[in-house]
Amino acid sequence: MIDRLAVGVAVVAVLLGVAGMVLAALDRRPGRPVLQGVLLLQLLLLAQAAVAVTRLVQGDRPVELGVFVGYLLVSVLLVPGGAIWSLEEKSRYGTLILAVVCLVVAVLQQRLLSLWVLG
Amino acid sequence: MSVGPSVSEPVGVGPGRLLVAVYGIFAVAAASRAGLQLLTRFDEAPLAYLLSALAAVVYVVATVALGRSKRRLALAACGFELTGVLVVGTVSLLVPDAFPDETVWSVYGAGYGFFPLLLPVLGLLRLRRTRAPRTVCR
Repeated sequence: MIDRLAVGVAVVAVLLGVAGMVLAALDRRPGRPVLQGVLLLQLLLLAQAAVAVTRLVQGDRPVELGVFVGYLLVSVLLVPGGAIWSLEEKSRYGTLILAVVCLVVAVLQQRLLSLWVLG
Repeated sequence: MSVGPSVSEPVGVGPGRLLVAVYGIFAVAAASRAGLQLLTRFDEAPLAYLLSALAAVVYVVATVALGRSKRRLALAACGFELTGVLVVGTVSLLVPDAFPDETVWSVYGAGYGFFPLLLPVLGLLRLRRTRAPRTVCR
């Protein structure tokens, strides 16, 4: 895990979450900038996961290894899953799904970081 | 005979689709946590962990049932969850030693942001909102 990357993930995720909620309130679909932001978020998550897996393989182990690996797995699957689920919903609720997923990602990343640091 | 033309609205559409998404996230969280508890610390509190696992299974069932508009199954699952969180929540307050804090339903799901209390209520409301109008019901 890289601290700064985790902060970056959280910042991007929260910005996207807020943007999504505003767009949903305006009854709009997520536009190109938001979708590009979601793509960026997923790339950051994948980079973070790659770093974490590398360190795990090298022998760095958080105490709660099982929980950590579980969170890690969910952290890379959540955005694609949520995006697919939201794309079929053409109303504002599709936008809101994306926003909620991004906010969950932010929380998840902080949990991951604290598990890693404590370990 | 088939059931005739379906007059109830799909459940997992519009706000329902958002609800299914949140249910799904929660189901994954509850299921993985329960699985881990059973695998690693089952001896510490078998009853609590088994209860968590049961709850997790029901969350998964509710997610699928709401998403696919299996109304009866969804009703049963949400009803079970609401009953569970109310009963276990109350018991955990009256007899604090009965359950450790790690049950999903302890103190009405306070450890999980009260989502265990909120979700079944929203699920039941959604089912009510989308049901067939009474006049067409048989």
